Amino acid sequence: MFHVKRRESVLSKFDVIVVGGGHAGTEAACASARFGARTALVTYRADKIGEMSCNPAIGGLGKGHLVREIDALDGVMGRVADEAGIQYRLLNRSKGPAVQGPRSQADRKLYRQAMQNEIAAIENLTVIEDGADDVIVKNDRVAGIICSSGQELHAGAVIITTGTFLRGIIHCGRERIPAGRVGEAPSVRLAERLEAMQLPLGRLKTGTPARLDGRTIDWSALEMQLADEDPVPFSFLTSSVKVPQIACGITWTNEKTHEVIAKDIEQSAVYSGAISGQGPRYCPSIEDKVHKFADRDRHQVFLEPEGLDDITVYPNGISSSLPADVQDAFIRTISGLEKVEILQPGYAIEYDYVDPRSLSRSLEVRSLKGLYLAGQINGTTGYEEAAAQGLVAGLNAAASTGGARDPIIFDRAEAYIGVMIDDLVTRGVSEPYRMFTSRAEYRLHLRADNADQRLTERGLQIGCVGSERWIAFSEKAARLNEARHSFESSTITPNEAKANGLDIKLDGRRRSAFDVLSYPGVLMDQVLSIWPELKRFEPTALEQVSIEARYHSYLERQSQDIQTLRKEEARSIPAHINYDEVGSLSNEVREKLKAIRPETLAQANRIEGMTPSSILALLAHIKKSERKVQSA
Amino acid sequence: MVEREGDTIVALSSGRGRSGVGVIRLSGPRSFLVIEKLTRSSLPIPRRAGLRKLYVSDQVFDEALVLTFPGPHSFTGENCGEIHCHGSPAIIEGFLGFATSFDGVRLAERGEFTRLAVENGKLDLLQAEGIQDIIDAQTPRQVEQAARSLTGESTGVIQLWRSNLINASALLAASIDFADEGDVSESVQAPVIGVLDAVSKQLISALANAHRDQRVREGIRVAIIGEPNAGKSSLLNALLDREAAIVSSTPGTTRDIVEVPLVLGGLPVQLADTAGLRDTQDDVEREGVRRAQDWAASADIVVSVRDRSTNSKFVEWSPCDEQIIIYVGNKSDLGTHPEIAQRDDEMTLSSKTGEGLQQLRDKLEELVDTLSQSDEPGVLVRLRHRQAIERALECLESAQSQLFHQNDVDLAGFEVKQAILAMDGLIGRVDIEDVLDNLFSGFCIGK
Repeated sequence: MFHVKRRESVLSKFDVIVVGGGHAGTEAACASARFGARTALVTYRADKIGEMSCNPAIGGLGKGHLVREIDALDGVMGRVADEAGIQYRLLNRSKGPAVQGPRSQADRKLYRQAMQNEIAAIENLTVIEDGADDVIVKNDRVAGIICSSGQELHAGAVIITTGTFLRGIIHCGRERIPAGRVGEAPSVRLAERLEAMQLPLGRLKTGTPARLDGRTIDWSALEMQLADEDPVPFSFLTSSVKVPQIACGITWTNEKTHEVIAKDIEQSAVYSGAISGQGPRYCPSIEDKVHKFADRDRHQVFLEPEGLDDITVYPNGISSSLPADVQDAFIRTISGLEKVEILQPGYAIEYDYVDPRSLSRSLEVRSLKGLYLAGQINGTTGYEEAAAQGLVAGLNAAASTGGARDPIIFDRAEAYIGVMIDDLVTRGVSEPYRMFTSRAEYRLHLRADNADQRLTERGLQIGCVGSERWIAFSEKAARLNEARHSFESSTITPNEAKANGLDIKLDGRRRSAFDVLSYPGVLMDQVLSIWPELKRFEPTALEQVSIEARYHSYLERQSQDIQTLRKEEARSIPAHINYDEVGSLSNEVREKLKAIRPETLAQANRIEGMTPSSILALLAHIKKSERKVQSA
Repeated sequence: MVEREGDTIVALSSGRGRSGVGVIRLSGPRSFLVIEKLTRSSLPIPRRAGLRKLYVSDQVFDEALVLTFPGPHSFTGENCGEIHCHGSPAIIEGFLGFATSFDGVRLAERGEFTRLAVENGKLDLLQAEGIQDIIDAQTPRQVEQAARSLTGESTGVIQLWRSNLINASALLAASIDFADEGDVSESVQAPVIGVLDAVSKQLISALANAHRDQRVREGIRVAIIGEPNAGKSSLLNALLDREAAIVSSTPGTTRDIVEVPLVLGGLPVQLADTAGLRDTQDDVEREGVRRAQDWAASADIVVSVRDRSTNSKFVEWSPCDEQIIIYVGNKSDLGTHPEIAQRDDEMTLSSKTGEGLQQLRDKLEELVDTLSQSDEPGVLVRLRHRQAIERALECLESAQSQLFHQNDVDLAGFEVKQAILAMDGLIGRVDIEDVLDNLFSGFCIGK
């Protein structure tokens, strides 16, 4: 089934090599292969491909948007998640469609299997079980890797997606274990190699909670959270969710829990000073919560089963690096967990990351052609963030070895993917980077519901969208266009509207069904009762039209900002610009420009501390040098 | 090390012509080098004046106070120097010639020192506008107002609004992005509406004063209107005590607007003589009448004039908004027509003899003073400021309505962000290239 090639029989020449089989690596390998490149996926253990190392869930706010975008570009994460989703919940259902995020608990085993099946089904993708120790460089370009076994693999581009494995160290109390994940060795030699290439490395940390034996939880004492009745799948190709749905338990820490933690907080790896890396503020350990928010008398804990036939339960909200016995003690103070057995204690993990400001927006390392980085190695956190980067790196690596000159870039007005990568390469990170809807300035436009309309056609042009998706998309788009057209061409006079109970100014101007739908407080049902013939459209099309009407005036207001952005994005900064020659820049700004080397004026504008006048000076300089080139 | 920073600029910062002292300013990497060569001596202690002889072509040609301000703690953020020499045009010219003979040293362009300060983050846009205003100030009120901008007081007010809105925005973001993480309270509606309401009230109050603040900066507008030959131009000349407008006995002499600045009781006034308002077949005169009506419509005070010696009426004029109207019966020296319909509030005077003119002056002074009165310092002194705040207010009102009626945190969040952007533009963070160009071209060299 699985075409794992052992080293003795392995082909050694590829277009693209992907190092790492996590969420970034799998998406990168699939994207590269989809693009048509002969691709190798190098990972320690093929049976760990698609592993969820931390919480067993996909999607969420901002993250669900990323999954939809990956799917719209025919990536794998959405479809795989739909084969493993055991508790679908559309978050922010009561809020606007732009901030609703699809999320689901995932069965870890089903997810792994589905991912491994996807990979096995791809013709030009080879999985190689090995480690990567070194990168081969020839003529200032990457030419392949040297595996831990000594085997050399050659390729025009290499994508490194080593997650938390770069000099990973697990902390549990005072214990320190070099590891990438529990029970798996870290990548030390590769880290040293990247360091030798003078890539700027930093240290980050993240944490994971203990895993519990579900059979020892008193579920009857808990409040349960059910899955949505009408699960909303991730993939535009999934028509309905077939996996059985389960409930999660909700419980709370209490004052007793906080007492136990406070008493031994000095033993936590973070508080004893053993860890130097910066952890995420939005995902604090339970020690942090107790210490920094001492006024809160309880914190919520979700008890999430890791699978349909898995006894393991993931207690979301109590990640910890306290010693195992202290974890045991505080967890047992929690209601429903009094007799719980811990299968594996929680821990903090510290790892190297590469300052993403050393990358271009194609995720290629600027100082070494052909080397791409994706995922946690770039300072992000989360499966979805990793997969989205993997997709972009995979497409660009494949395109570059195929001789493409222009990188494949998504801009901030086009996709969350674009927002994330632009944030990373322009601003860098100070804590593990997670996607939020608030990061997207064009949030009303970048919705989970319209990801396909934003990206699938672009994907077809890029060459990463297959025929099945293209046909499904085109059919849906045609139906949607017909619905939009009908809503715009069905009109009504103000008097008729008044007769139908709508409060509309009597100005003699006819309104379309779309106009009427865009008024605050007007519901689709009212519109359908005025124009019963519009009922012929399918519910998804009606919903789409309704969302578009709701945001119509806002999107119009925003379109000017988007045009300005696009104009600035179109103004590229020559790669070899000498910032010392640009007049009237402050030293601070000059140093930042030198370090980040923005690709466009718009990107330069987003650099922290950039003043409008510096942008003007930069623009003037670019124009001047363009004139010189022309007259030469 | 090769010096590749921008040019070094130099200019006379004090007024042109003969004066006791002339101040020359330098900014840029070679400022100190120029001073060393000029003084053939060591630099004085930073930010302290040192007495030095100045040499040009081996000759001592002046003795002057020299100051240095090493960057980044200087006005422009670069190395800056000042030379306080004697204000003879010959010395100034000699020195500017000497300085610009160095490579990379040139004369400053209009407003360049201030521009550098903005570019290097030493000043924000409001402060830079304040500098321009304080230089141009003609009245104590204008100085007071410009000083508020210049010292950053106005920026502080806007920063405070902005930071409150950022708080509101953060609350909305939390309720959206952390909705699934039990530790964030679901209900942000009430606290956010509270913040938005408070900021909106402050914006409304600032806008209410904005008209007045802009008047302090630009001058109260006083329009003289009336029928042709009512003596409008002669009244203007009498108020000015000089001949600014052409006066003749031919009706319709004034066809365009004659606008003159005037200081009344220490306050700036824009006084305008307009074409006589009448129906006419003459195209040029008709255009003049249209312009007269437009100008008068936007005036704060309208002085309506008639000729008392003939049986003429005041032209019909419906004052707009809070416009004040003063009725003046002119040409009292020619006697009063027997059938004239006297108004109770009509001021009788003669532009020719000056009789009754002082009463009109006093009246105008009193009105101008009332119109310029303020209890609190104004922030919105330019049209640009008022428009930005009006935009911000509109967004905040819409955000409140979204939250109140629909509890729509997502659209409310959009509106609040737009309001913040409008304020950012005011201080000079985004989208202000046009403003910058406009602003800096208004500066005189060397300021």
